[in-house]
Amino acid sequence: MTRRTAAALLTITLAGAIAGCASGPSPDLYQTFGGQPGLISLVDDFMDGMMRDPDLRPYFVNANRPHIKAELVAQFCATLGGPCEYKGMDMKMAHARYGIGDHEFNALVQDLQDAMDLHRIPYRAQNRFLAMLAPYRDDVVHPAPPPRARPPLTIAPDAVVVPETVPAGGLPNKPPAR
Amino acid sequence: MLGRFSDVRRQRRVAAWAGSFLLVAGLPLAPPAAGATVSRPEDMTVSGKLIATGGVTQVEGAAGGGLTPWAVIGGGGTREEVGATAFFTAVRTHDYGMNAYGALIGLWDRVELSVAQDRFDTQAIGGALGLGDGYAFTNTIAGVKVRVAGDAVYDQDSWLPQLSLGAQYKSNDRGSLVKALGARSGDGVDLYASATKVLLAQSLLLSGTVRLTKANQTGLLGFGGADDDYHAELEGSAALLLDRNLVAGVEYRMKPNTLAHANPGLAPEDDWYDAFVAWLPGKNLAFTLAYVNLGRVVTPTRQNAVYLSLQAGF
Ligand code: HEM
Repeated sequence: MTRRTAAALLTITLAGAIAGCASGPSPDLYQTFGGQPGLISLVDDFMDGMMRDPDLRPYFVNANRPHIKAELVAQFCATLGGPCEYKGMDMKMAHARYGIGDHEFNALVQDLQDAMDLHRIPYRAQNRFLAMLAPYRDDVVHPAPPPRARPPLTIAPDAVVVPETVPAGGLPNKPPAR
Repeated sequence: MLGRFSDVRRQRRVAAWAGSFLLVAGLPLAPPAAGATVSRPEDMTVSGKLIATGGVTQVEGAAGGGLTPWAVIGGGGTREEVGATAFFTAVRTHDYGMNAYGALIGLWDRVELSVAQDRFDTQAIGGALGLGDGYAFTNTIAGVKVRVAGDAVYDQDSWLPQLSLGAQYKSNDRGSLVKALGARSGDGVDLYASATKVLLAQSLLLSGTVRLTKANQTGLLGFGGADDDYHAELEGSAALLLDRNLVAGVEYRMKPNTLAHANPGLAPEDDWYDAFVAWLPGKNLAFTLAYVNLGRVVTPTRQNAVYLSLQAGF
């Protein structure tokens, strides 16, 4: 094998890989996952797998699983390019307070891969889908203690302005009596 | 039924915490408080990385492909974990043999520390050169690599690769001989920068490295020759992810070729390239088989090699 053959091989590998495979959502990809019935049964198996996974079970055992599954179906469908809209919680809001780490995130990815294998979804289609989910890691994983342990504020934090110096005895001016 | 339930939940969210009417209506509120007690275990966990994302081990002991380092941090540890691997690699050409072994630890997916030893056996060529049959050069390598930016696997929404900087200190046990052959020194330091990207939607991995080096044949024949300067050399890998446990690809590694300029009796040093298949049957195990072309090594014969590597770790 000469150097030129090696270079040619490299170019063919690259060109083939990039050209031969689209990326991003597409109705085709959604069909590869079996449309709506396919996704519902995929998510069922996915959740079953997570409930068998000692890394993930604690997170879901007390959760409202039927609801999460319904949201996942909608989210997966929208992500893949199906005719759905995800109307569930924002990913950051849904996960921040759990203090999820990389370890758990990856455990979930593997359980999802296992479920996709079970449904005989081709590996390359799996990767196209995972490529769209991967950036969620930044929203889901908080290696530091969860930043938000309380419900979100419903008013802006600066809506009430407290004066710098509040006299020790409370505010001097009582509201005028009516 | 399920649909109606989630509709109600949805409305509840839209009503932004105006949950009281739901309570009055006697509908159960989802239990957010129950979840708040869950969080990741206090105990240390290990091996949280996705399979194959720590790479295999290259001949000098850094996580990467077979010939060149990748920007990934070796071992199975995620950002909250520590991992380690050990490897053994055998390379057999028509005339030579090389065995390499070593270990690395990966700290919090940030820092990689490695040690390795490469033993290059000249077999019959050693005798022909008057060194004695089976004369061997042994290179001991200590490496460090630091991830400085990006994540090769997760940053799928940007083109930014994972970037790492690394250094490899190498010490040759035949210092006086390699100096007699024309090298300037028996030990040296390589500095490198690697960029690695997994294009997941394409099931493709690309990696490139720029290495500043004085090493002859990675240091097995010492450092420096006609000059004692650092040379910038390019190295690259491209690999296809065939399935979760199988990766196949090609690699290329350029070399400085300064020793032959100092000593015309030696054949020029050629670039290296290979084609490999790595099989990772589990998170803790990897086998790599490759065909490697080492070009000319000391003698004018081109050395085609079989490369076999085993890696185990956590
Ligand atoms: C790509 C990664 C992930 C995606 C796309 C995802 C998606 C979702 C979705 C769509 C919901 C429903 C949100 C709603 O109720 O409106 C949800 C909820 C939830 N997820 Fe995830 N998730 C991911 C990773 C994880 C991980 C790694 C864990 C735990 C280790 C986790 C634990 C949970 C829990 C416990 C809930 C229920 C939240 C609550 O109702 O309080 N998720 N997720």
